[in-house]
Amino acid sequence: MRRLVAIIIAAWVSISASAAQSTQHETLHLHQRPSGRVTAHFAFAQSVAQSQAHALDDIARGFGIDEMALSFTQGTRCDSIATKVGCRPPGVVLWAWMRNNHSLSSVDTRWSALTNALAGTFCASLNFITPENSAEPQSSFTHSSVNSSLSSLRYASLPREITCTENLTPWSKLLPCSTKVNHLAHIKDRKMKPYCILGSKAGIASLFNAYAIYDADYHSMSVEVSRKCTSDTECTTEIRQDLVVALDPVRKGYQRNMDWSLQFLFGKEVAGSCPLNEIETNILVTLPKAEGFEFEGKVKPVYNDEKNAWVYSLELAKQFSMGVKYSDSKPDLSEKSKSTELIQIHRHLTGYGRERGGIKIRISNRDTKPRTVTLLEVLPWFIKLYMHTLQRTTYHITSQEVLSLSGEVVNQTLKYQPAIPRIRPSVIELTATLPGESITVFTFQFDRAFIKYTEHPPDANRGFDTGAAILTVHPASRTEKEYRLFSDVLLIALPTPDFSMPYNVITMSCTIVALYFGTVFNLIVKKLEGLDDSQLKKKWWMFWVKERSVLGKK
Amino acid sequence: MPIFSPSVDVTQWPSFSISHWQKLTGVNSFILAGVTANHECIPSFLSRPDRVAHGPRTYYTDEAIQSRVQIGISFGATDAHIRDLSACNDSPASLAASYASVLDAFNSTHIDVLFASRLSVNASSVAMRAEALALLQTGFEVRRSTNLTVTLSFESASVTDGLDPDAIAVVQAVHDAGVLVHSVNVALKEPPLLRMGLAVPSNEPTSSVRDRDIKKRGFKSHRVHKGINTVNGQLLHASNQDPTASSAGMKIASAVKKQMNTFSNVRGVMLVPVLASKGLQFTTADAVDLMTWAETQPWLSFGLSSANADAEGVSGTRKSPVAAISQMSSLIRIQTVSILLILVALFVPVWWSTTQVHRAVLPTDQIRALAAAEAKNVFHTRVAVRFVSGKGQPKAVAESLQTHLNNLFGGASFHFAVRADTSTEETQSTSGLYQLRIDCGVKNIQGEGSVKLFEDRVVSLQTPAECADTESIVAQAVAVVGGLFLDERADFARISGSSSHNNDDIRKVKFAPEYQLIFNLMNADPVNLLVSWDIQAAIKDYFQNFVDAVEKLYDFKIKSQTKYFTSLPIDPEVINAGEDGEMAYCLRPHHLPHFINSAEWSFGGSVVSTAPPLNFVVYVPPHAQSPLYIMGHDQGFLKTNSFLIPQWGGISIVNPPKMAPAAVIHENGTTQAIRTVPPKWTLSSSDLSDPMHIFIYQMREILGVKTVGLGSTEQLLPGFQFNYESSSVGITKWELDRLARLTTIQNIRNAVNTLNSLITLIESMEDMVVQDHIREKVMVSLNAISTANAILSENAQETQSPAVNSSHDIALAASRAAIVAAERAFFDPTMVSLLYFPNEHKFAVYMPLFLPVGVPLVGTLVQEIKKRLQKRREGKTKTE
Repeated sequence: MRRLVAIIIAAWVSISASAAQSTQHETLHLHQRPSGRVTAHFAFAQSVAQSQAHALDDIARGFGIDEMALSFTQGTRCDSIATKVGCRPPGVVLWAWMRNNHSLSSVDTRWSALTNALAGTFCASLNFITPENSAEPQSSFTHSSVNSSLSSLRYASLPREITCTENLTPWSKLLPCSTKVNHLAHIKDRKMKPYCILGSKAGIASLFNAYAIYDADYHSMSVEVSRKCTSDTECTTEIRQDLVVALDPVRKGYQRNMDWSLQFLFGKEVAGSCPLNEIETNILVTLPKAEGFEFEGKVKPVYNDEKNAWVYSLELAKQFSMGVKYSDSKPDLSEKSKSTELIQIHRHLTGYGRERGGIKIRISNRDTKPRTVTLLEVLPWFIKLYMHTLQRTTYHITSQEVLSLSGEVVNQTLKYQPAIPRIRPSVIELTATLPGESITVFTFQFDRAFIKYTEHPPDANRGFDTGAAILTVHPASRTEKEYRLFSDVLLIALPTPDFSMPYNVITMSCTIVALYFGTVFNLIVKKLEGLDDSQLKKKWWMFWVKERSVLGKK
Repeated sequence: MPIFSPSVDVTQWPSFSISHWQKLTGVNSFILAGVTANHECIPSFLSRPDRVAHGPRTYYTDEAIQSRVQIGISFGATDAHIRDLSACNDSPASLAASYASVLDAFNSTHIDVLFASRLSVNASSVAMRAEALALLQTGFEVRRSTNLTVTLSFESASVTDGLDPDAIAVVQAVHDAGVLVHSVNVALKEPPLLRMGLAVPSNEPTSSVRDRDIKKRGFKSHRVHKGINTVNGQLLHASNQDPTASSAGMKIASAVKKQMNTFSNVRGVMLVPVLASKGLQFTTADAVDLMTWAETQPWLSFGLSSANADAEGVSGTRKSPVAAISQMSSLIRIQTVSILLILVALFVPVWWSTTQVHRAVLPTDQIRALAAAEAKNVFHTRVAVRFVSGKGQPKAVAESLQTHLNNLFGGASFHFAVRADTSTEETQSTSGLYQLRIDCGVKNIQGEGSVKLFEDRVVSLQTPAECADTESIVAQAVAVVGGLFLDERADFARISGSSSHNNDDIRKVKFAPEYQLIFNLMNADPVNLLVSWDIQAAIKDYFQNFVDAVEKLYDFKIKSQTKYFTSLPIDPEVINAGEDGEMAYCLRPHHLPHFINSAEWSFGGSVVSTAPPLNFVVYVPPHAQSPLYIMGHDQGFLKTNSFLIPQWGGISIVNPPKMAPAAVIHENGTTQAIRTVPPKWTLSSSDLSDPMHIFIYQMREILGVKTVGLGSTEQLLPGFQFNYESSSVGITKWELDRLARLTTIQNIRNAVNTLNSLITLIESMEDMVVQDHIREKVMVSLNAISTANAILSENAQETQSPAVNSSHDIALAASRAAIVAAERAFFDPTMVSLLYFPNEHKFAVYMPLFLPVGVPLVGTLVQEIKKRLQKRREGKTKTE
């Protein structure tokens, strides 16, 4: 994938050098695993020139953004090998490098304006990103293209944000080739207007079908924006959009087999290539088996050794469909649990009750070489951390022996920003070297704070989601690139009050005040006077009173 | 002098506070009741080992000494189970010593001995106590050199006829022992301890209430304490009493006095009414009656006292019981009311400050006055008259022209200052300064003159009149200059008058200081034709000059974008057009409102800027729908092939050149691609010339530019030729000035209206928070309005020097600032926030308070009204 990105970037560079026009490129990679699961990765890249109007370019320019990444993800069953852009944690993750000196306002003001603008653009509740949950990591999102002395980084995540069609629609509208046409207007006289049938949309985006995408085990759509300026006036904004969908034909089909086709997975076919693409649109297919299958469809793919995939090329204005049929289509379900990732991160809660808690982060390094990683943990302020409880233990991966670490191997630095209630989160940034073939466990403890009555969400007893910890794996050699892993999202239950209590208190105290008022009022106002027996007459309504007791003893 | 002196049950729980009661009632003497022997024969209150009655620090000693009250001690048991001190002592002397030890502990000079009827009073114990008393009384005078007041207390179940024989026997025994008895206390009802001021509303003698019982019956005991409160109240307010009680009390007192007459050393009788027990009880009137009566009887006291001078010394009281009781109740009332007042004084400010909504004070009156006042804005306009030929009388013409023009306009909308311009140099043209060039004595072919309107604020008049003929020259000049401004006066009248809308105004976009100009190239069919355009060059070539010309009114942010697959949401009609019978597609006027598919075509309005967008679209129809034309109402194709969407922008259809389709659909439904790369078509700047000129025209319409013509002059000067110089940039200076003046007036009006709406809104929503920065914006807007109004007032002085910024420009800038600030204040996000609790919520929350508080209030009100009515009725019957 990295190579592919490099190709795309190379293509950009060559194109943007030739003309100041906007360019775009798109690729679809379908990757099937032995379990039968097909991960579809739609990659789109655009380059927007200075004078062109594009919503994201407008945002990037308006808020002085050098680089920005936003992802909407749902589901955890992500296949890290197949996705290539990495598995993202559920919810929304946003980080941006922003210019320090900008005519508009300070970085923090622009950060909140940016979240609001993105919230409007993607119809998502990104406006819930506030300084309270935004962090400023020091060494986690370093990037070569951004000069960190001129720009500041902001990072925030909303793990509870649910993504749906309403986010996908504006996202896909950012693609140049995906303006939809009103189908209904044209279907009735199909023969009259052939062009309408041809290109309701063009390009791989014509496969987008909300029913299929949101039925997936995992889907993640992301936007990455980076702005490059050759001079003060000549800037291009590069926009990369990725959609990763993990579809399961085994689950979806009645036959419980691995066979699949585009029509079967998405319910649609590709409506030809996007005419705006400067280079050929490819559909890559990676299959779990080397033989024992055949491709369906008129066009047959070519195997590309370098890409380790079968390659199709899309043609202009030509419907495209394909499928795979196996001779032995029984899925290898045992494969599901296996993972070949070299570095893995898992995180879970420890402790009990609603007061004391702890977090355990387990990072395993299967590589034989030691690797340097940076762990970024952004925890909301109501998780009161005890940094003195932070402990590190390193085991050998197979023998489970505790390894004694010598100074050079440890190479551990810790940056810690304590939380200020309702103002900023606690941020732990821990850079450590993991010895080869080891498991490193970090633990720390925390107290759960009592938060204000109004700070609880409507579904208070569900608990609070905390964003994933981010593990930045630093390159071991020059040829490698830095990449990031995301841990699991935690659901932390806080002590919840009885929400009817304030109203009970109000009514109770009001009643007591009223009772006292009555007594005092009577004491002040009323004058008790004795009645003579003669005055005491049984009234018509005093039917339960005996005549004698009313009139007294005679 | 009768006194009120309560007897205190020491063992009651919670414990009794002497000082408190002294303060409350003004009573200065208390009798501590019930000193008996405990199991170790030590004198203690009601036999309780923890309440030892003698010794250095006995119970109540400190408090008694501190509060400086007289303490009397009552000895004797009320119950057979409790041992009297006499049972522990074998000689009168030792008993007297026991008595003395207790009295000394309290520094007391008053001893009361209780002979309860229920106690089996045997003769020997009575005799012993009598002798002990005698010893004590004599010894006391020697030892303490003061008199010992001795009282005997009796309780009797039937005292209506005086004391029973047992009691008489006791008095006899005491008398025989030679004790001076200050009074015989008669409890009007048992139990004896429950005397006035300390009555326990129970038949059960308090002495029998053992410690654990008290604790066990905490509530009841507590009520006893409360009882003290209310007993005094009960004296005043007791209800359900025997009306004969007072006379009974008098009868008893008299009977006892009669019995006591036989005893020479018994000085008086005291009545101790026991309250709240069945039988003898007192109403207020009874108690007062009895006390009043007691005051007249020198031998009788009420409460616990003696009528003689000695007893007075003992008690040292100062108040009459009636006064004490009434004063006490009024004291309670004052206390209660003052506590309530303090609470109100404390909590009302707290409540006020916590529930208060911040509302900055806005200059409401000023805004209302501005909104109500009829705007009378006058533009001070200068006209320079210049004779081209050099002959003529410019000064005379100028003076006469000024008078005539001002008469024509009557001081409304325009005020003219005309001066003669004799200089040969060209003056710099600014808004509000116009030049009238007169060329006299020149005829055209028809023998008449001509008028030419130059682009740059110059109008020239060529007249056949002789240069000396000032009058006719002036008449023609008035027609020319007046004709230029008369239309405008009508515009102003419409704006400041009412809301009658002109159709032209529908097209006009609302004023904003900044607009986003977005040029969209809509390529419906990129598969067959990839269209691109050289929009940057086109804007530079055609549009930039217009934008620069209107710069002082608006700022523009120009952007462009290309959109693909922008097919129409409507189906154009197919018609045969052209010579060779080719197919053409056309849109009829009723199609046009549906042309823009704004849900699918994103027009790229910025999310960063709040400037309103103006969209100009070059629409390239798809191959299958081209050529596409717009058909007018006259069934002919529009030459411009474009149309305007009011307040939104303009659309121009540019048909692509004919090309073969990229794919062919065969009859069997399969498609076959012909090309792999779509052909390209670039619209150069010159290709875009037509659409851009149309856009400029549409822009004029949208911005509300009105042409300046000499329409009315043409009628006044028949035969004259009229020429207009066209503008190279799309707007002449005349038009620009007219637009600026119109915008100024509209902005002032709109700013005033916006501020007026703002204060109406704020006044109608009382829970709305009004922050200080809103006030600041309102003040900025108001200041700008008043600046503009001052410049445009009738009396304003127009500087004659051709300043760079003329008054028109200053007024425009002020009006612009006014509308911007007013709109910012009105659309401020903080103006949306309301208080968290609206009034409905508050009432719902306070209902549990209001309802129970309201019920007694309403009840009392009803009762009060009833009483009033009854009184009135009674008054009526009395007068009758």
